[in-house]
Order: sequence, then structure tokens, then C-alpha cells
Amino acid sequence: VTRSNGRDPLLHGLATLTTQPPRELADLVYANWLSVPSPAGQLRVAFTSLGISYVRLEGNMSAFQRDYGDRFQRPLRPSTGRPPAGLLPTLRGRPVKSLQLDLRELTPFEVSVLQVVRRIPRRQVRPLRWVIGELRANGEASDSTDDTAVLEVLAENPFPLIVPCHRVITSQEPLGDYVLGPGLKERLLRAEDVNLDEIRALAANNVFFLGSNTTHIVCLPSCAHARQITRPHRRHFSSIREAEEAGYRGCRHCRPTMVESA
Amino acid sequence: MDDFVEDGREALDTALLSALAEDLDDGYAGFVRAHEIAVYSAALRMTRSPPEAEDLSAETFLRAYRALRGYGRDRVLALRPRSWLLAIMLNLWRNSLRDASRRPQTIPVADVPDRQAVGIDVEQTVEDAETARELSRLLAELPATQRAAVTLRHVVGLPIAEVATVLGCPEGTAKSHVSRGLRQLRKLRSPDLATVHLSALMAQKVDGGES
Repeated sequence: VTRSNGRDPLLHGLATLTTQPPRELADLVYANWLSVPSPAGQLRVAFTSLGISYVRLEGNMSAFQRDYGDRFQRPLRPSTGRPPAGLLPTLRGRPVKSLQLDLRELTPFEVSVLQVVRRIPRRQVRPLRWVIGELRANGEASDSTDDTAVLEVLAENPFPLIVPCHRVITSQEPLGDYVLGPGLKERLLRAEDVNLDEIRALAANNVFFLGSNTTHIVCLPSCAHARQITRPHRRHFSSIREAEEAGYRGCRHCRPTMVESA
Repeated sequence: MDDFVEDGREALDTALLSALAEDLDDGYAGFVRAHEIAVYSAALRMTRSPPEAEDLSAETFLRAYRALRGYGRDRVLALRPRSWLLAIMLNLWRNSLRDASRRPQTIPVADVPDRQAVGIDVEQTVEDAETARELSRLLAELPATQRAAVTLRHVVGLPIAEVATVLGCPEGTAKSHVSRGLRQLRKLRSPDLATVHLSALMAQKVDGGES
């Protein structure tokens, strides 16, 4: 009996069991890329069926393709459709929470770091030690987690601007490295109207926290609440411990108590 | 007929493989499209669950792509893509079974009617659809190796030599897996189908009586 013999109802029946996949499998395997505007300049954004996977400044296409290939080992093609929902407003500075990220190729530690950094709001910055404190509070950092471990994740951030790693600052000047280029970091923060000059002047005087003597709440200097404290009511602190000893509690928005003492 | 189909397939494979050797990312979409029905159909028979079959098939094509990245031109051109892909799929499926052995079993959805592939007469008779549903359920009852063998040979339509390659056994062994699987299907099938037909007949009579 040959396979094409339609007279055997069993073989005929089996041959009709071929089934088309519900979606084109190529759409699940490929990543697509497109070029979009951003405050940092034109970006090339790659995304899969699960969400955004890679964002870099638009430069040499073959370099982007090679970097993407080495890192994700997934075929890449130009997108023929619209940008993923939420991408453009997020890049314009109005983050859309539902914007999906493809986190499959990242380690759990990388995901934790990026999730903490993703929540830093526009116009504000956080010290690196705050990121580590948040990780520790979430049980996502070990005792051996140090600056270097977090900096390495940020230096390879697949989602710059979407996960705003430019808002993480180190004690070094100028501002620490940035995945899209060091000069760009300061330009982006100034474009967001972060009070960089004030933060620098305060740090030069060993001041890293600002409190209000009317509310007895202490903040990080870039916090929207700190920026509303009028001069006569503003108190300066060099550590969170000093503020707490003076009867101040940490702001619930910028969470200054998360800053770990080095 | 079989030879004619096989010749056409080989010409297509050669063209697709040349495209891959030329530019992997560019050629891969055509390669996926050409083989997705075979891979998904077989994955569906093995997993018995459309969402799992979709995941397994997508993972198969991703693994295949990753392997191809490291292959030279000659190695790409020498591939027998269908049996290569199906071997990757079966291997991933076995690994997933091993990983899942401690997790609760998923409920088989073999009774869910499948979307039929393009190229098959869409205006199937009710009887054909019933047969397909029934076969799908019965096939799911076969032991894994027989199920794989019958699926590769008679659902996907691989020549027996390639079935043997995919299963990693001699041709004679592959043949006997297929024939034992078919025998088991015939045995399971006859009483069940009789019941289906009888109940369909009775339902018709009841309807007729009331209208």
C-alpha cells in the first residue's frame, strides 16, 4: 500500500491531519527592526513577538546586525508594520507602562536591575547606591553585589531611554559612563530639566539629601518634592542616618532610605 | 506520484538552502514558511496541545537558525531540511518531557478540531472531519515512538529512510514502528467509529421525527 493510495481510509485520514500553525512561525522566530526618533537622536529598535529587545543609536546597519546576532542569535529583518504600541510616546518622555520588553535573553539579575531603573521618573536621577539598595530590599542582590556588577548591566542595557539608565549617576564626574556615549548622558538629563548644577553644588558641599522642616520629610535632591521646598525651610543632610536622627522620615516617592552607605 | 512530489520538494529545498547560504537572515523566512506545516503538524501530534505545539515549533526554528549560523556553505547545501528540523523538534520535545516530568500533566486537547492545512479540500464532508478528530484522538493514545513513526511517515509524509534518520534507528526498525502503530490504530478505530456513526444516525432520526 503506497501513501498516495486514497483507498485506504486510515492512511487517507492520517494524511489529512497536517495542520497549519495558527500564526506564521516566522513571526515568532524573527526580530524586526525599525528606525525611530528620540531625544538622543535617531534610534534603531529591534523587537520580537514578545516586545522590544534591543535599542541602539542609528549607525552602521551591519554593525547593528552583527551585534544583535551575536547577542540574541535570532534572525533580524526590517519591520514592515507600525512601531510597537507605546514605543514613540515612551521615547518622547511619556513612558507607557504597557510597553512590552523581551527579557528572554537576560539573566534574572539583569532583569532585576533593569526593572528598578525603569521606574526612575523623568527629571530625576538616582545614585548608583540607591539602585543597589532597592535590589537588596527586593531580595535580588547578594551581599557580594557591588557597584561593578550593576554598572556592567547598565553598560550593556539593551533598552536605553526606555529603561532610563542615564538617570543613574555615580559619584564620579562627569556623571559616569553611558551606553549610548558619555557626552549624551549629560545632554539628555539637561533636556529633561534635571537640576544638575544644583545637585553638583550640593554634592561639592557633601550634601546628598534635602529635608523640609515643615513636613520633616527628607528627599533626594532631584525629587519633585525636594524641588518644591522653599529655601527658608530647606535642611541639608549628608547621610540618611543624619536625617533620621534629626527626626526626618524618607519620602515615599524617591525613597532616599534605599541609598546604601558605601 | 510520490516520486513526482519528492522531485518537486528537492528542487524547492535546493533553492531555499542556496538562499540560506547566500544570506541567512534574508533567506530564513522562506525556509520557515516552507517547513512550518510539517514541523507544526508533527509537534501537534506529539504535544497534543496547540499552544505547546506552537512554542515547540518556534523553538525548533530558532535552534535550527542558531545551528545554521555556525555552518559553512557546503554543510548548509548538504542538509535534508525536513528530517533535520523534525529531528530537532523531537529532541526538544523529549527534553521538555524530561523537564516536565515533575510538573502536572497538561490536559490533552486532541478533541479540539484542527485548522486544516492549505491545499487540502476545505469542503470536507462531515464524515471526514469526524474521522480526523477521531484519528487525532486515537493517535494520541499510541506509545510515543509509534506515534512519532506514524506521524512522520503518514501525516508529514517522510520517506521511510528519513523516518529512520529522524528516529535515529535502522530502516527496518522504523518500518516496524510504523506498521505496529498502524495496526494498533486499526484495532482502536473500528469499534469507536461504529459508535460515532450509530449515534449520528440516531440523532438524525430524532431530529427528523420532531420537525
